[in-house]
Amino acid sequence: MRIRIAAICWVALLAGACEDAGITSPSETTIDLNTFSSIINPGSTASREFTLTSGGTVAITLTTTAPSGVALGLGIGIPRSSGSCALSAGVEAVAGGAAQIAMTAEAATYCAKVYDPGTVTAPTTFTIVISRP
Amino acid sequence: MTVKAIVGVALMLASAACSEEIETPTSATATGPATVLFSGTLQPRTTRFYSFTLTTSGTVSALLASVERNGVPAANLLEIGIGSPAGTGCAVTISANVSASLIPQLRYDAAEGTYCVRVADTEGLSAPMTFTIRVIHP
Repeated sequence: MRIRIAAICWVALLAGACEDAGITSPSETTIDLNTFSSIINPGSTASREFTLTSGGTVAITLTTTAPSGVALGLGIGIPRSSGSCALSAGVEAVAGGAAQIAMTAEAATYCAKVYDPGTVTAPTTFTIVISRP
Repeated sequence: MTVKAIVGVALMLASAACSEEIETPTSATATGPATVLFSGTLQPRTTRFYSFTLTTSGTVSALLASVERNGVPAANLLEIGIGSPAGTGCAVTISANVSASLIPQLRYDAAEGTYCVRVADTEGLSAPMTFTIRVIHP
């Protein structure tokens, strides 16, 4: 028992020494998550602006739709002065847990857009999560 | 020196000491780069260009932000270029064939003056496309 306690103390002392030696834990990357929910009617679109204060990867996840299983268009782009979202990339996706679209972008203002790719036959509520650096 | 004089000098010194610790706020006169969006419709095998003016020298960056048909993004390649207005056109100095992106695709160090950004269909679009180009300049 004494040996075990001594060993634990020794390890603790070493850990303390390491901290004193300037070894630090890896820095964490902060990722902001923004949630956006709305309704898509047949032929309509909905978009949300967001700003990146630093460059990195923007990912968008269509997390839910109601009714479920509806495929929606999902895109990332740049807001026009008119307020519409000029899409750089887009996909047709059903709700899931993994990001359906991601792009690398520099610090600036962007937009996420959800649209009817021709599959929406009734008002469909949705939620997307925007993940950004 | 009278007591009043001594007190007066002491107050002046204290006041001076305090004033040295107060930092005068600086006005935010620095202006950041300008972001300009150029949007339009590009017909097959045609070009369009837009002019902009630099009042200070610096780096101009440009990217093809979107290529869409009926609001749906397309993967078509278009040529974007930066140059100087020449006659009724834009004499491009640098250019690249690119698809839509959110990171700069062209960078050009420019002096003060008037420049232009050009978009061209060199691949042969099957139909007219709407496009947006983002230019950031000093």
